[in-house]
Amino acid sequence: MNTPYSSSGASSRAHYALVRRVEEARSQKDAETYLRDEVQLMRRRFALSPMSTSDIRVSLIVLIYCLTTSHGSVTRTSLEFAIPSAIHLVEAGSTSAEKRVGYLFCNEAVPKDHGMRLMLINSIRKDLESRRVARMSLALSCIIAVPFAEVVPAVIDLILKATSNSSPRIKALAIKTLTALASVDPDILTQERVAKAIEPRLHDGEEMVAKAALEACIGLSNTFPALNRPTVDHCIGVLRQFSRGKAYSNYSSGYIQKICQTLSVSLDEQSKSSTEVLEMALRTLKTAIKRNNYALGLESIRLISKVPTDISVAYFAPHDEVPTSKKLPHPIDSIKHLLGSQSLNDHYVFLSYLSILPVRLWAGPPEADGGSGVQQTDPTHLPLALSQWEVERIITFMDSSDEQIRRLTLTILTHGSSTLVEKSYEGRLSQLSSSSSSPRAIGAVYGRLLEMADALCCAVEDEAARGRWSATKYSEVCELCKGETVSHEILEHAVRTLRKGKQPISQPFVSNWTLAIMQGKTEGDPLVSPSNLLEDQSSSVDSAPFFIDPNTPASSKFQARALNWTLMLVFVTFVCEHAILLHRDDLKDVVTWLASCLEFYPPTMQEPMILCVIRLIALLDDSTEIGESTTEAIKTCGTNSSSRLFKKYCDTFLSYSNDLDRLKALIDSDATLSIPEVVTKLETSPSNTIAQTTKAAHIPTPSKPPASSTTPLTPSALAQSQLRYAAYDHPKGNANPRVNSFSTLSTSSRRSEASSRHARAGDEHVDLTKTITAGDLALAEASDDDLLTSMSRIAAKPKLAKGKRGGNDPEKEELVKKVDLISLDSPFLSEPIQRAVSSSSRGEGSGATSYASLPETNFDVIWAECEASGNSTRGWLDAPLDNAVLRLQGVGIHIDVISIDDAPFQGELKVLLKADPPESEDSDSIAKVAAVRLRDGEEGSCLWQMRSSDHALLVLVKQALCE
Amino acid sequence: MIHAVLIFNTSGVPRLTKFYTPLRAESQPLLQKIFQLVSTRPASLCNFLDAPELQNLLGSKIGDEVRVVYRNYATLYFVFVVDGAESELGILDLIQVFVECLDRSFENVCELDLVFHFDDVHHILAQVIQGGLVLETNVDVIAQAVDEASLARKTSFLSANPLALGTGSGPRSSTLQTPLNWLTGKLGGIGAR
Repeated sequence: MNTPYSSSGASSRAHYALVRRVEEARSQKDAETYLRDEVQLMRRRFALSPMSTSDIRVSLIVLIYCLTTSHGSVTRTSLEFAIPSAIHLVEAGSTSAEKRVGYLFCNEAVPKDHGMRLMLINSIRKDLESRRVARMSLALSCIIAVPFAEVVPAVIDLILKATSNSSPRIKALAIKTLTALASVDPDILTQERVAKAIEPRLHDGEEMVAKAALEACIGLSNTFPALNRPTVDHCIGVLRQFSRGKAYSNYSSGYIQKICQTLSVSLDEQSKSSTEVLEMALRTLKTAIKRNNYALGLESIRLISKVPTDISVAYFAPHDEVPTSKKLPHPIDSIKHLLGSQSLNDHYVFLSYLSILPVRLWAGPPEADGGSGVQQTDPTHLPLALSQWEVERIITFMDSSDEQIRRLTLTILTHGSSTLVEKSYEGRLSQLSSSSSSPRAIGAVYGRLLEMADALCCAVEDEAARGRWSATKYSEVCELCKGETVSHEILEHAVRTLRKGKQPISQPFVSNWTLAIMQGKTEGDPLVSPSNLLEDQSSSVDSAPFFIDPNTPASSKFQARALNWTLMLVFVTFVCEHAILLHRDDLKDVVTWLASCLEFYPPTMQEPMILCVIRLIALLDDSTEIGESTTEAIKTCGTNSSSRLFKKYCDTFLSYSNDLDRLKALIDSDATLSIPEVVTKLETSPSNTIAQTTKAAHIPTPSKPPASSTTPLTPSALAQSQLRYAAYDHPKGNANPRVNSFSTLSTSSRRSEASSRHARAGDEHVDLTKTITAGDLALAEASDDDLLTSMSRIAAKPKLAKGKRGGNDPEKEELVKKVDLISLDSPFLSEPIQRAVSSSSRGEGSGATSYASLPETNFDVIWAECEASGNSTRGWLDAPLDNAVLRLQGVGIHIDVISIDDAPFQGELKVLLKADPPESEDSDSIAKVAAVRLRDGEEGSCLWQMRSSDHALLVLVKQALCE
Repeated sequence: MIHAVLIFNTSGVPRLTKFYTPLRAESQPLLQKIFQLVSTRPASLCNFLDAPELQNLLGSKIGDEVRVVYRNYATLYFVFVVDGAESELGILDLIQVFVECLDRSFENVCELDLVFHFDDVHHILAQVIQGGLVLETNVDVIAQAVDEASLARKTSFLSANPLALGTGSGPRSSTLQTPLNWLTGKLGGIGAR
C-alpha cells in the first residue's frame, strides 16, 4: 500500500496507520494481532477520559474497520465497551456525519437484543422530530435495520406523519419502517390509520414511494382485503400504459418489475380470467427482451404463469377464434435466441424462464417425446414449442460445466418429460457398467448420475415411493464400484447429493430409503420404474416391491450380508444423520442388521458402522429393545478385531447398552448428528473409555506431567479451566471466545454448524497418529466436504503436524479447548501449572523460564520480593504507554507485558524485564528481574513505577524511561 | 428478501459486510463459506448458485431457497445472498447499480476507497437497499441522494466548526492504487462478471 496518508481519505492517522499495518501484515495471524491490539488500545482510550464526539467518531470508524476485517479475533462482543460511546454519539453528535457513524456502529456492532438499544429510543425520537432530512433518514434507517418492539409507542405517530413528508425518501423510508415494525408488532398492520396513511402513496409520483407502498399493501391486504382491489387496479393501470408503449420513458424498469411482482402475488380471480393481463405480460416480456432487461422478463414470465393455464392454452391454441396474426407471440419465441448463446448466464436466463412457465404451454402433450415423436392433438396441451435442435440443445445442458445449470435443466426436463431423463440415466448407467475406465477417471459421471436420480426422485410425489426409488438408484450407482473398495468419488457425490438435493427429507422417505437398502434387490424383484411411479402417484406402500410386513421378525426380514462397501458408508452416513426421523421399530431393525453385518467388514469399515449403531440406540426407549443377538455380535466382533479403536467403540456400546439414560444424557436425542459429531459427543464424556484412551496423551496427570504441561497457557484460560462451578452468571456477551466455544460444544441443544465445525477441528489432533482409513473417509464425508481434504492432509503430514503442537497460538488454543472438553471435572488439570508457578517463585530449577512463560501469575510475587531489595523508583514519562513499552524493548532485555485488564494491578500495564545470568556462572544463579508498572496519564503521558532485584538493572531501565 | 451484501477482495478479505437478518452465530464461518463458494467458481460459469448449506449459518428468517448472486469486478467480489422471494436476475442488475453508484460517488472507485470510506459505502448501500428490500434502483436518483447527503454533511460540519478550513471527510478525488477500471457504462447487462 503506497498511498500516502494525505490522499488516502482515512478518517485519522490512527486509522491510516492501522490499515497500513494490517494490509501489509506478513500473515493473517499478524493482521489479527494488530486488529486485536488496536481494539485493546481503544478499550483503554474509551475507559480513561471522556472523549469529544469527533474523537468518538474516529474511534468508532477504526473499530468497525477492525470488526469488518477481522477473521474472528474481533467480534461484536469484544466491542461492547464502545456501545455507550456510540449511543452518546447518536445523541450528541454535532454533525450528521457523526450521527451517521454512531448509528452505523449501533446497527452493525450492537446485538439485536442488547439492552443498551433501549437507550437509542430517545435519540431516534428526537431525530424524527427534527426537520432535517438527513437526521430523519438516519433514524428511520436505524429502525428498519433493527426493529424492536419497545420503540413502537415512542415513534409510531411520528412515522405516520413522515409518510406525508415533502421528501420522497422520507416518505418511502417511513412506509418501509412501518413494514419493518410490523415484523415485531403485527398489530401495526391492523390499524386503520396505517392503511389510510399508506394507500394514497400507491399513486405517489415518486416511484420510490410508490414501490414502498406496493410492498406495504401486500402485507396490509391480509387484514384489509378491501385494499387489494385498488392495489390491483393501480398495477393493471400502470402495466397497461407501459405495455402499450405509451409510457416507456415514464416508468423505470424497477418500478414495472415491482408492478409485475405485486400482480403475481395479489392478482384476483376476476383479473386472472381476463386475457388482458396475459397480453400485457406478453408485451412487457417482448419489450424487456428487446432491451436485454432479463430481470423484467423474468417477472413478466412469472405473471404469465399466474394466469390460469386453460386461458393461456386457449389463447395460444392454433384453432382459436382469435386470428393468429392478431395474437402475441408465444413467450418461448421471445427467448429462444438465448439457447444459441455461449454464455452460461444466458443459458441460466433461458432455463429460469422455462422453469417458471407452465409445462402445458411448451412441453407438448405427454406423448411427445423430445420433439421427435408424433404429436397428437390434445386440447389441454399446446404443441411442443421447441424445435428438435432446441430440445437437443437443452439436453446438452445436463452436461454443463455449471452444476447450477445442470440441476435446473434436470428439474425442467423431469417436469416436462421424465422419460427423457430416465432414458439418459439408464444409458449412462449401462455405459459405465461396461466401461473399463477407472472410477477415479470417471468420477464426475457418477455425480451426473446421482443428480439425475435426485431430479427424478423429486418428481415422485409419494414420499415412501420416493424413498424406495432413491435407494434403488443409489444402490445402482454404488454397485458400479466393484470389489471391496470404497469409491471416494461415489461416496463424495452421494453424500453431497443427499444433502444438497432438492428432495425434501421426510419421515416416510428416510424410513423407506433405509429399509430398501437393508433388504436389497433380490431375484425377481421388479426394479421400480420412475415412470411407473410418476404414472401411479397414488401407489401405496403396500403395493411397493420393497414392502415388508412389519410383523415379520427383523432377523428374517433383513438378511445379514456384505453390502457394497461404498453403499454401506453412504447408508451409515445417511441413517446416522437422519436417525431422528426413523420409526422406533425401524431403529431396532437397523441396529440388529448393522450388528449382524459387522463381521463381513474390516475394522476400517466397522468403525463408522458401530458409531452409527451407538447413535441409534440412544434413540431407543429401553435397553431391552437391543436384542441379545446384537450385543453378542458386537461383543464377538470386538473380541476378534485387531483394531484398538474399534474395540473401544465396542466397549463403549457394551457399557452404554445397559444404561441408555447415560447415553441419552450424552447424545441429544432430538438433534441431527453426523458420525463425527457422535465421536465428539462420546469423547466429551469424562467417564468414557474412548476419551480416556484416545486422549490419554493429552491429559496432564499429577504423577507424570506431559510435555504439553509446559506449554504456556494464558491466564484467562488457566482461570477458566479451574472453574468448577459458576459463581455468578457471566455477562451475556462474554468476550472470551474460549468460553463460548466450550458452551457451544457442550450444549447440544444449541448445536450449530459453526460449533460442529469447531468440534471437528478439535478432533484433528486425536486423529493425527492414525492412518487414514475407509472409516475416516466416511467420517470425513459425513462431516463436511472440506474435512475430507483436511484429513487427507493430516494423514499425509502427521509428523509435521505433531511437531508443530504447542508451537503457535492456534495450537495452544486448541490445547486449551481440549483441556476444557475432556477434564471439566478432572482434579488434575491445574496442578502441574501451579507447581511450575510455585517452583519458579522459589527460584528452583528453571525458575527463570517460568517467569517468561507465566509472567502474570508471578508479577505480584516479584513485585513484593523486589521491595525487600530496596531497589525502587518512579517517574513521569511524557509519552503514551505504547511508547514506554517501546523504550523498554529498547533496553535489549527480554520483556513480558501483562495487559491492563489482567490482574494484578488492574488498570496498569505491567512489564517484567528479565536479564539472564551469565553463562559462566553456576546453574543456581538467579535471574535479575525488574518489574515496571505503567499507568496512563493525561495528554499522552504516563506514570511509571519500578522495582528490581538488581540495582544495575534498575538504573539501566530508568535511563531508558528518562531519555 | 436480500439477507446479506458482501464485498470481498480476491484474497478473501471482507471489505463490506452487511447482514439484513440476524445471524445464528458469528459471521466468520459464513463469510469464509461464501467466499469459498464464490472464489472457486471459474469465470466462465454463471453468476448464480443455490447454497442450501448456508441455511444453518444464516438467520432463521431465511426460507428454503438460499441463493448466492455475485459479480467479480477486478479485485473485488460483490456477493448478495438472497432467498427465493427475490429475483436473482434483478439482483444481478442491482449489483451493477450498486457498483455504478460507488463508481460515481468515488470517481473511479478502487478497493482502498472501500477500506477508508466504508461509512460512505454503507451510506450508498442504504440508498439502494433498506431492511433487505430494494429501495431504489435508479443510479441518477441514488447519486443525487448521496450528493445531497454529502452536501448536508459539509454544511453541517461547517456550521458546527465555523473556523474550519476543510470540508470534513468525503469522497476523495485522487486516483489511488488498484483502480478497478470499471467501465461501468460498458458493463451493463448480464454478460458482465
